[in-house]
Amino acid sequence: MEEQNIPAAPAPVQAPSGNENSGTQPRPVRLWLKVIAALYAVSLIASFAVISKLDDARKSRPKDMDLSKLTGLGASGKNAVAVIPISGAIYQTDSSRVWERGSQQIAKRIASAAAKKEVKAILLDINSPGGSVGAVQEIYSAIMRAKAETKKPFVARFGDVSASGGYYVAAACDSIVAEPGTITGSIGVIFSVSSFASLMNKVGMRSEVVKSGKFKDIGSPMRDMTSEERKLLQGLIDDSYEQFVAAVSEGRKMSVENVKTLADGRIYTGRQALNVKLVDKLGDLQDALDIAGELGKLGKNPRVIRDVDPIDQFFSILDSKLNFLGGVSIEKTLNASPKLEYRWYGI
Amino acid sequence: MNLLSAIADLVDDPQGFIDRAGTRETGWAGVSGYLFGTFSIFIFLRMFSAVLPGVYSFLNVLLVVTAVNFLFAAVIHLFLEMTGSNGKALKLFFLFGLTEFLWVLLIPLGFIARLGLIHPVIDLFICFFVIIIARISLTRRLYSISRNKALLALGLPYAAAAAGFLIVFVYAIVYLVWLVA
Repeated sequence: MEEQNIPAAPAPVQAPSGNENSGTQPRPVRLWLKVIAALYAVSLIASFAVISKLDDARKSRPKDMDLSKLTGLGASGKNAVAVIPISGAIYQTDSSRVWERGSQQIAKRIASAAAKKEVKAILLDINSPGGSVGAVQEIYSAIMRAKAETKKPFVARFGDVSASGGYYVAAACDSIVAEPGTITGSIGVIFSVSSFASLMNKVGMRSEVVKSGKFKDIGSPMRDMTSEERKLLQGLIDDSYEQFVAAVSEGRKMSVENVKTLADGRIYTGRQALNVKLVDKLGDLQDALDIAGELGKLGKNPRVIRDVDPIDQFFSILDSKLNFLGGVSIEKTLNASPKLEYRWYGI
Repeated sequence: MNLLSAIADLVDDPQGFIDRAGTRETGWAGVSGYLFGTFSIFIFLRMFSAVLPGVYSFLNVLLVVTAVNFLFAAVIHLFLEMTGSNGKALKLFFLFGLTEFLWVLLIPLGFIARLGLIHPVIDLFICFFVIIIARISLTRRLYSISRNKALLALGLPYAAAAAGFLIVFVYAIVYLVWLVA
């Protein structure tokens, strides 16, 4: 860097010091400084008035406002309807990623919302094609337990799709609101497994299995399914189906026979579902909120507490932006083991 | 020497003030500058409810301002001494204190910001920019160096702080990726 040292300027011979000048005519700089100091004092007084007004406004605000902003379901004095979204396929997750909401997380949030004093009703905003039997039943149980313990009303609201396991969850609610074009229904159970036996024969590959019983590798993709295995699996499917039918029958106050006529796995639009009494009303989210408000004795257009965890959201956004899951999703698909599901595979 | 006279001298004849004033005079003016400057910053932040009210809150801001300036003065002095420019570190610290007086601009700017005519962060940047210019002017006179070298010396601690922040941020992201992947 270019060095341009400048010599220190010699001390001015006649430089007036503050003290020397104090008795004579004031210099313009000092005069200006005095004006600035006076203006500063005035602006300080004005700023104190502003600050005092701000503090008063802050004091009159409810103290829990900031907390509720931070925590979503934080403590709040006013009664409200809690909205819990259930989106995507419902499975139990063994992932360490906190933002991947498995059924355990959803069940926990339902219990947490029901335990809040200010929450008078809970709205489940469902947009799910269902999922594994165990995971769906975990959420169903959480709703039934919360209802039994707190007597708080639950309302289900369907978005694009709420089929199979999504409907199973909704069956536990006191009221179901769907859009006219929502895809719902698909009441039934499915177990699917791919067979690579022919492919393995073609490439000359063989899988050796040593097992303790003939059914130990049931559902293996390495060989074709036997008729005994098919019979056994059908038994499982039938039992899970009966559980689904029973849940719908209990929740919708319909006879089992009546439910079975609707529960052949077919899907319905929201309007068709209303005609066969699988849903209670057609409407949007606001309609669902109004119903929840009325059931919770809050009236129409109630105050809403959204169950949004800022930390989960942050990680979720980071995850989607940096695409950590690109490889993991492929790995999950390849390693997917056959399972019993309340799920519609239309999407 | 009273405060007003010291500031008037500094504005009238900066080189003369730096040469003539002793550590005591500069120290008194510098400490006053830190107090007034920090008080102005504190009031500005209170106007936007960015800090808590109370003496302890003010003392916290004062501690941060003096600590940062102390560190920056030390780093700048070290750099200048190492490159062959001589001066007094303590005087530099007190002169930085005198430039802190310029934070008083924040109060009227704060009112303008409250009217919604300007963003509060822009107010802070305006004051910061003016203070940096004043510091360049004083540093080059105290160490008898060029304006460019003074600018470099003043920019060094900020650059180091920015680099440190960037390293920590990158490390945090890498750690986060490792944690979740």
